[in-house]
Amino acid sequence: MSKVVGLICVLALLMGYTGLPVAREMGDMALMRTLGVDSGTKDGVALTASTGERAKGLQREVTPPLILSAEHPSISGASLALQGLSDNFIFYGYVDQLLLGQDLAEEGISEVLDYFAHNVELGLGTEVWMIDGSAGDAIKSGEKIGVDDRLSTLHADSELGVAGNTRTTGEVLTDILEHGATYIPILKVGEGENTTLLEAGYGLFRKDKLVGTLTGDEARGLELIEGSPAVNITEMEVGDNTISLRMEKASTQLLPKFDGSDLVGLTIQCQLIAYLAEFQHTPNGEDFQYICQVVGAQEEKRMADALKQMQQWGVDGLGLGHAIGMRAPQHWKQLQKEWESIFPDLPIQVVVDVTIRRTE
Amino acid sequence: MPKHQTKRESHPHPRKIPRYTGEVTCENIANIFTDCADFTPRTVFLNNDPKRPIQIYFLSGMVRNERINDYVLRPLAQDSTLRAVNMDEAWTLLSNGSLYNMIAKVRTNLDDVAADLVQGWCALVNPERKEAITLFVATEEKRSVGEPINEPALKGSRESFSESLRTNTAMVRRKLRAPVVKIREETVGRHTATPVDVLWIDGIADIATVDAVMEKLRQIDIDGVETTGSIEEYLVHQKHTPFPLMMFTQRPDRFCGGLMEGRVGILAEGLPLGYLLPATIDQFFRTGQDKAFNWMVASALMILRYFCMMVTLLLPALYIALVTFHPEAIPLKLALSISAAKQEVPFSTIFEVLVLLVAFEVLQEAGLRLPTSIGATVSILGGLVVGNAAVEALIVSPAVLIVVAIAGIAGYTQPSQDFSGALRLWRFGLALLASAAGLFGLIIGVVALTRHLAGLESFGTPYLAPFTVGYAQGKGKADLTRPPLRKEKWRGNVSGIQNRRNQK
Repeated sequence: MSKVVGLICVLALLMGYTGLPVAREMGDMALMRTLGVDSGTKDGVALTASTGERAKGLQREVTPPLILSAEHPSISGASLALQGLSDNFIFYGYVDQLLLGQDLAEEGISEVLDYFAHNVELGLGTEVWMIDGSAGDAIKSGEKIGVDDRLSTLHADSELGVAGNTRTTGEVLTDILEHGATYIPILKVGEGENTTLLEAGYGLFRKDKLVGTLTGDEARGLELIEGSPAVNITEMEVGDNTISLRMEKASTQLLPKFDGSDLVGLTIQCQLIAYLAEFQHTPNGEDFQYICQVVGAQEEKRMADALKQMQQWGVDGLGLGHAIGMRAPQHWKQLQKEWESIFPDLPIQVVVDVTIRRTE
Repeated sequence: MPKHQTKRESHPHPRKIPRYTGEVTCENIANIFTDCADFTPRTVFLNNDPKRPIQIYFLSGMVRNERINDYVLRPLAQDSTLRAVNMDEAWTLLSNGSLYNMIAKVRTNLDDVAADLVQGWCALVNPERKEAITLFVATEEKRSVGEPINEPALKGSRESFSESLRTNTAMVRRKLRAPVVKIREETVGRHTATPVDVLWIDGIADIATVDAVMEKLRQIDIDGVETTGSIEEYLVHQKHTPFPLMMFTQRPDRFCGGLMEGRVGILAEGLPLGYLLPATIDQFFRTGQDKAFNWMVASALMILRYFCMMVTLLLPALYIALVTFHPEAIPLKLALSISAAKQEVPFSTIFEVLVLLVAFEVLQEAGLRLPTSIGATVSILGGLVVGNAAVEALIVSPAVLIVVAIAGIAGYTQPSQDFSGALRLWRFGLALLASAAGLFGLIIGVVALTRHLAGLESFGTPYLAPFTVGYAQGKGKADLTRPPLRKEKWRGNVSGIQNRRNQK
């Protein structure tokens, strides 16, 4: 018995050294969902945090989201300052949405990503978007109902393939560390009365700094190169027939061309699968050929434009160099060293092969 | 006064065997039963010969009147052959069949005569020979064989053990009709002198275990066998555990199943149940009906019981640990729901859980101690009305109520109430550890529990035998499930089994 008591005493003493978390009541917590980081007016960062719409009591009375903002030279300082502004204990364990302001993106986002990598409450599974404007303003645009639901919907839609790509802090950090460039989806606040957050293309980053943005057809081109395009509807006139084509899936393959150990060209082959959504009468074989040709050319142009832009900026945001290295590992060591100088002038050919299914 | 002296004085006096010394005489017998209102002496003349008196003694109420009248007194009065021979020869005739009784013993020891009398026998005393003939005339008033209330049968026998030891051994004999079923008897209790039988199947059970049990029974020196604990607690080796180290059953069919698995059975007079040992943890998750159901259904139910064991043991502690220390591990929507419900509640989560666990035990205890009809009312009033009112009055949060209720109900799936009781005790311990150190505390508690269980042993068999590696030889027996009977070719994990194979 004395052994057991002794063991309990030793364990009790050891518990002090284990870094045990402090007991807190969930009822006293403000569970933050969305974090926005902007450049501060001085040298620091402006942090905005929001809980999303909250419920209270048994009847689940809905109360507006708690939105707090603070500025500080460091993120941890700003987060501590937020704690000082609230009656509740601010808990960041549920932050799964990160919005980065455009100013901050231009200055560099590595500090934010590092903070997410090291903080015990935050994690690298957090979804990240860049805001065309201020992240704080974007969060405050959902003053009444919060922006968390909208962001969750965008993420869910992306997984279903009906919205653009989303990225996590972990993916972005890995891209930056592995091939020195990345891309992040951009959102903008709707104008007028509609303050919903809307998709606005992708921001391309060299290292951790924003270099440029791809919007519209170029953004679509980036998705196709990535092999995960959002559903897109294309309408066209084929003779007297008006056809709506629903383009759902694509798979992309990189075919590098080497001359000895020198990379002399790259072919990006995209297999696009489309469905006939609406038509007045069933197209015939010739019509199908024509549709494939037109759609293929259209998508090829989108991809080529996106690539052209990326090459102009010298930013391989999609990690094409790394992917080529995977296909030709014997050349990767040399290619890795020279990739930054090779990529801007690399001849890239895009080939899109369209397959139309559900033709009747 | 030296310490050791005080200690010695507090010890009970050593058991006196034999309890009564002296010759078998009418005076000595009468002295023993002085101040016994039910002690009845009777003088009878052999074949109405006044020169040949015989003293008969019995305890009124313990004997069956008809048996004494018809099978003892009538032959004594009417058998003319008893008059034709001398007294010595007559005494020999009496002990050898003149009296119509299936059991007649010639006693020369006063202690034996007294013991026979208190068991409902009658004694014929021949003062000249200083000996007595004792005859079995006990009344056999007893409760009839009923249904096993704690282990109801949907498919199968509805017999249950009764308080009569011989009825119980007879039930076992009727199911195992083979002479290899052996029964040894030991008397336990200074004042109750309760016969306790040890049963086993010769050629299967470990005879060393039988000897060990008999030795343990012999060593029991207590006033009497009043409850099951009187046998159970004196037989097991380890005292500091809430877990049962002997399995009991009310069902003779299950008891016989245990004997056929190579276990040793114990039956005691006055206890309507049978013990099986050694006990291993898997026994407490099985029911007597498992073999009656389809093997897939029975296996699923067994896995469910193990799952419920984890739920009843860990859920309250896990809730405390997650909600209080590690909220980030709770899924978002559940966290928001718990947070919303918790906002108006004045008490801490730890306090809420612990108080509700205590309240649950109080309700259960109150329900058990009352008659069935009132017990049900208490449960409804306590569980539903008070629970609902407490939630509406924002005294407890609904999530805590649900957690405690689920943990409690999951505990009821355990076939063994003894095992369930041990789980309830540990549930409190784990909840306290989780309150102190969250998941770290809970893990420490689980490790301590595993260590505790691994250290338990029942008559040489590890308690966790089904889950230990390398213990069972040629096992081939599933413990978490109930495989098809054709595939279950090996007896259980009992140590020292002589014949492990149970079918072709």
